Amino acid sequence: MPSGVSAAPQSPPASAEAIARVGGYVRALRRRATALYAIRALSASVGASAAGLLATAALSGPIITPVASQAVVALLLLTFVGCSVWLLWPARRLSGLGSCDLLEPVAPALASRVRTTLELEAADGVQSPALVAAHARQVSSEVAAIPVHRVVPYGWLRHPSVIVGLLTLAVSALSFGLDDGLRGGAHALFHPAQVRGDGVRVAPVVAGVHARLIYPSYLGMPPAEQADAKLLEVPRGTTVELTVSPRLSSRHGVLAVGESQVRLRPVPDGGLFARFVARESASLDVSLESDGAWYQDTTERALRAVADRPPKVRLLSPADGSIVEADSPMRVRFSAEDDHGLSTVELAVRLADGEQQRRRLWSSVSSDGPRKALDDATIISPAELGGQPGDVLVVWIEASDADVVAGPNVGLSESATIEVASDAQKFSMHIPRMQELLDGALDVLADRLETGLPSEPAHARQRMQELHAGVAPWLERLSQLIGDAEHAAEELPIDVDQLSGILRRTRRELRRESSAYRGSGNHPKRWRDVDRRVTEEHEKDVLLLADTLAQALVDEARVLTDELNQLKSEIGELLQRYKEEQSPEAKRALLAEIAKAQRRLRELAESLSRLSKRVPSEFINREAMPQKNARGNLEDLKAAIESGDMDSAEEFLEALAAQIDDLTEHIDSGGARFRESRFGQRDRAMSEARHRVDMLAEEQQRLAGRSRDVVQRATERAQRQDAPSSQTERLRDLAQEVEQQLEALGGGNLGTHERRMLGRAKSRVRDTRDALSTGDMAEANRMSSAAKRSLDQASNSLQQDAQMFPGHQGETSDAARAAAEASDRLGELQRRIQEQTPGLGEHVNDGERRQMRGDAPAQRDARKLAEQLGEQLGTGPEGTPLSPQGERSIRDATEAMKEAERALERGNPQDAALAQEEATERLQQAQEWMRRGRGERSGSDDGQDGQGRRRSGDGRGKVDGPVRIPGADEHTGPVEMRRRLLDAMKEPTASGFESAVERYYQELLQ
Amino acid sequence: MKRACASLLLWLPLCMLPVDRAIAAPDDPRGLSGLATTVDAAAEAITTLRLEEAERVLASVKGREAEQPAVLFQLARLHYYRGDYASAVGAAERAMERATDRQRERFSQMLELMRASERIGATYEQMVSDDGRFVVLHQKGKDAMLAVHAIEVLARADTALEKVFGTRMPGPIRLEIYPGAETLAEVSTLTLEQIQTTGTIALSKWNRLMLTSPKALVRGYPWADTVTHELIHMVLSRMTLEHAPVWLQEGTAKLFERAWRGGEVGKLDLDPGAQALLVDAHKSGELLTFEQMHPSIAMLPSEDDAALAFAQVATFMERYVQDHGLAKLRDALQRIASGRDARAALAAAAGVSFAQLERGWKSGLPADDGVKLKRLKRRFRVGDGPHDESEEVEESQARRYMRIGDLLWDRGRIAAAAKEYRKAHGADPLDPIVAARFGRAALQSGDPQGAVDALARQAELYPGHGPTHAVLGVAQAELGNRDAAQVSLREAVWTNPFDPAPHCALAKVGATRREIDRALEACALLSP
Repeated sequence: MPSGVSAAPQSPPASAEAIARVGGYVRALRRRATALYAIRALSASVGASAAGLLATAALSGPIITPVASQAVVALLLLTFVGCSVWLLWPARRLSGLGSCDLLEPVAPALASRVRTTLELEAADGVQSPALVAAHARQVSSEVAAIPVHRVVPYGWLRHPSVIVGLLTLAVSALSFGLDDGLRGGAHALFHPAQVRGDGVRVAPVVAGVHARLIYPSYLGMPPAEQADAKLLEVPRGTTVELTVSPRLSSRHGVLAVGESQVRLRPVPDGGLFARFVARESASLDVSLESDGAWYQDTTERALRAVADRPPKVRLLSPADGSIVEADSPMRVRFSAEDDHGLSTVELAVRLADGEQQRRRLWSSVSSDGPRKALDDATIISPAELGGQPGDVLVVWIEASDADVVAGPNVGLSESATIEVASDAQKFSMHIPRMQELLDGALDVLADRLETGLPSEPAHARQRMQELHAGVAPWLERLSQLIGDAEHAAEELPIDVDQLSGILRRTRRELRRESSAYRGSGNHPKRWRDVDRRVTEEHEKDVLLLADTLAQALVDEARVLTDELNQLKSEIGELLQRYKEEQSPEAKRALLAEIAKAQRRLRELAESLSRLSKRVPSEFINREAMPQKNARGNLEDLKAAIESGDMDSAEEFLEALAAQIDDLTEHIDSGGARFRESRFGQRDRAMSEARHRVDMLAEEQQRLAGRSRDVVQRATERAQRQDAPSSQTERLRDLAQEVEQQLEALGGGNLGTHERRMLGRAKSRVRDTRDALSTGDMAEANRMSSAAKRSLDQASNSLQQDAQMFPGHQGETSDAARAAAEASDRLGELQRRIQEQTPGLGEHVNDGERRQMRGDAPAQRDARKLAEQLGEQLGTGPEGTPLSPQGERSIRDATEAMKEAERALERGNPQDAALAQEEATERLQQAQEWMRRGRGERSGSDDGQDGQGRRRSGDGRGKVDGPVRIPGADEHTGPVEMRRRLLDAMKEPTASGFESAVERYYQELLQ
Repeated sequence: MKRACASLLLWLPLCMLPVDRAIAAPDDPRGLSGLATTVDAAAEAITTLRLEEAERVLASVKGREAEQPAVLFQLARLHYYRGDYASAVGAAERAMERATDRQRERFSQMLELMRASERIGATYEQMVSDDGRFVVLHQKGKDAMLAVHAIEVLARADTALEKVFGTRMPGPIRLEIYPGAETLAEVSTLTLEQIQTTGTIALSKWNRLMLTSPKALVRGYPWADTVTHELIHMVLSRMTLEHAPVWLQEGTAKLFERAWRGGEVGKLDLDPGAQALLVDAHKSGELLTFEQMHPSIAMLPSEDDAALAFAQVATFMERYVQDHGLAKLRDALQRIASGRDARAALAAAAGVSFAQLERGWKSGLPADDGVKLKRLKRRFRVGDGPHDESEEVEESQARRYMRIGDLLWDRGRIAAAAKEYRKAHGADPLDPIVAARFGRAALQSGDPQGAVDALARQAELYPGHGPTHAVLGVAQAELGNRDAAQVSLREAVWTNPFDPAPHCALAKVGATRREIDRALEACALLSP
């Protein structure tokens, strides 16, 4: 029901709808009109208020007191309300039926009729309801034809109040947007300034702060800018230049950086400037002075000075707990990174006596400037760092950055403990391989024993093939061990002679077995025979390997007691020194040796534990040995030294010495008894054989010398008669070519034996060239023959090596091929020399012929002795050869002796001398192989060790026998090192490490 | 040489008798005083194991005389012989305080022995038979199991010997079991070297049986027979008042050392090596005469002679008993106790001349059957590591194959090891060490019959080889030959009771509940 219209009497139902429609229409008009009035009012009010705010902000400035702020706000509110009321006033006419008047401008008559309709509907006592209804319907249909928005259009908003209001609002907004001062003023209105007790007004007086950051030079960063800096996060040492834009007129101010204060000075553009260096994190507070009053800006600002972090460093190799030989190259690999840049990287080492050393590994000065990350490696040996066998070194990497502000920050990696291998440890490293070899041999034998020989041929063949396949990996391991032993820089405690013999014999028997199965026939007896032979070979090998392993364990224990004896003496000396000097260095050195002795005792305990499984207790009974007492005494000794009780220290040392002597004696005597029980017969046979070979070699040399003298004299006679051949120059050139070929062969793929033979060949070729220079063809012939023999041995050995393993990239095969070519060339030289060599037969006189024939029986006797020796070496006690390689050399010598014998009988001094030379060389080789056999190394019952040292009372070895000075071609250390490096060079390098690897080679190959 | 030394194991302690007697004698230059006589009587009684008499004698000494060093020392000896070491040490120390220098010199060695016995005994456990007659002292641990068996053996031996000799030793009979030769050396006057060289493993001395535990030897040894052997020495010492010569002691002890097993008594079980010596000497006419053995076998020039002498006396006593009976033997022993010469006593008891006795004995000596057996040395354990038996295999091929077999065995390749052991056995079928290996491997390979075939004869030839009996017993058990298994397994236990295998097998085939339970317990204790 429209307001002001009372309820009408009951009209017919159809008219009610009309009336309602009319009423609704009128209400719609009212609503629309009211809204448009409100919009007008709002626009005008907001515009007026904005104008008021603008005026106030312009007038008040950036600072305003709270009272003034409140007054202004009230005024603005009043303005807003007043405008609103004033512009909403006309809307009051719309109440009741006043809204009908809205129709006047559009349909004046209708306005009245609408009013009438609503009045009639509300009136009481209406006479003609039908008439009213008809009227209402008529009006209803008419108003329906006139939409509300036509009566109250949006055009009403094109009223000055709206236009002015919006315009004013726009202008105000624009003004505020463009003018900081106005904004400041407006801001100040709603954030009136507080006044502190000291009279300083706290208000947002700073419009903005601009920062320029100038970083420390070592960071290498360009300056940076930061606008409206509320939080400055900068590295320590950064120079900060702040420009403050005040809201009010100010000519100076103060910037508080934490506790310190920096003056703000005016700059031409009206701002204020200050500069300071960020050292620590702090708050930044700006205070400005204006018109005699101080204002502190309310905005919170802060400085965070970020410290330069120390570099992060990692030591990637060597691994902690590594054991490295003193002279072996050790790869030290590391990574370092820094947030700003590395300056130096050093390798730090703490030696056994506590002394520290440093080595510079990298520096930004020598490099291309600072780097944030580095991954590098270097090669160094423990000996270079001052490490001695048995020492424990602690290594780590130290990296520093270039922080010049607070000083370089140093980052440390984790440390790694490196033990410098003692003699015993070098020993110990090979024992697991020997154990593995023995286990493999047992399995090989067991496989054969457990699978009986089937009667069915196909099954028998299959069995053979399976067994051969099973033994192949074991042979490979054996071959590798032999190869490693031959290529090692130092002689390893491995009997290469015997192992080579095992390898050769096993291969031979397996080849025979394979041959027996060739074809399709059925040969059970033959198969049984070869099976038996192979089994017998395996059985021999198993016993030999078991005894060798047990002996190695005993030797390991002996080497450890040797070291303990040495340490005992050194500790004694150091203790004396410490007593006299009482210096920290002496004490450190002493404690370092004690620590070494403790380690040796631990190793000895481990060694004896391993040994007890292989060596019966009746030989070496670890339970009876005073290891625990010795350990206890060492502990007590250490404690006494640390507490300064020298008298007790001496007592403990004396007790320790006695225990070490006891240990040594027990192991020595037990070891000797064990040796006697396992190898006694063999050692005696070998000793006898060595003696016989020595005698034979001496005799052969004597005979060779006699023939050589005859050759010499005959040659001289020949030279006096014959003119030198013009071919000698060509032959000399050919010799030169061969020499160059041999030089090229001296690369990195040669084993010890090959190197030795090649060295001899080279020397002999040089001698050949020299002999050719002097026209001594006989000598040239002799030397070239000797060279050929040596080169053939090297070539054959390389070919065998290449068959087993051609090299990572076929380099061993290449070397074998090159050696064969050189040998062919040398053969050609030899032939041509022989052709050019004058026949000496006519220059040998009767006396000399008689002499040669007279020497033939002696040569024959020597040959027979050599044959016996060959058998003796080839069949040791219990069927295992004494020296397989020695046997081969003796057999070769025997053949040469036969040649010599025939030549002597013929009266041919050249052939005789050549053959005798060869026989002599072969005998020397046999001596060499026999020297390298086990008997020499591990000592015998006479109390001497492998080098002829007798164990004296103080445990130190004294040299009793002749001192053997190695020849130039036996100094294999650098060459072997080079070969190993070059082997490693062929390994693929991980991406990113190329420079490190290259540097490694440069350092080592120089 | 080594055989002679091995034979010295029993005569050496008897040689100590003069020392003991010398200590026993009072230091009275006149030797005529009443006290000296009393002390002498006490000493004699103690030495001849008549302890109750010695006690009476010493109790009669009163007052200040009782505090005389000589009296105190005899009191110490009495305590010592009774096994009360603490009291013995106390009395001996009191004697030493009061003794002259000369007396101290004589007393000191005994005092050291007393102290050693006290020290060692303090850590030992004691096992006593139900009737209190047998006391066994042993180290804690596995020897407790041995003590259980030892008490049984002692009881059986005691009963058997009473029948043989017609006399019962007064109790308690003490047996001390030592863990090793070192301990035996500590509590005796033998040095460790002497013990190891001669293979001495037991003594009968100071009224007790002193036994080295079989665990101290690589293969054990027939400890049960040895306990009986020592007990016989104790009985003879008492019966003959220590007048029996060593050869009679040894011959008799050897003859009856198996009496505890029951069965025929007086049947000798001679060591094959000794038998070989006897046969050779008889064949070549080089048997020793009794004159040569008299007064001491130790004075013979060589070890072989000593071993031969022992073999001779043992077979001599066997023949004597066979021909003349136990009663005559007992009679002879009594005559000896009265001071008669041993040969004369035997001859008189038998009613013939000694020469006739000798002839009778020689005529009964075994002939050469062509079988050459070897002697197995007693080997003391050294440390806890493996012991190499290959050195004891004389035949070189057999030794080689056995070593290879051992290596394969340790590697776990049993079938292959069995083949090598078979080859070793083929190379020397009579070697007991090889045979035992082969048997073990055959057993492991599932061929118990093969083990029996290899070892049955070995068990007869080398009855003292423990491993043979152990493997044979287990093999017999697997074949279901219960009785034979029991015999072998028991034999194994009586040789090396610390091998778990025979106990575990006996737990399945034992004859009585008690035997089974005991075997089960031992099996559990000893098995790894």
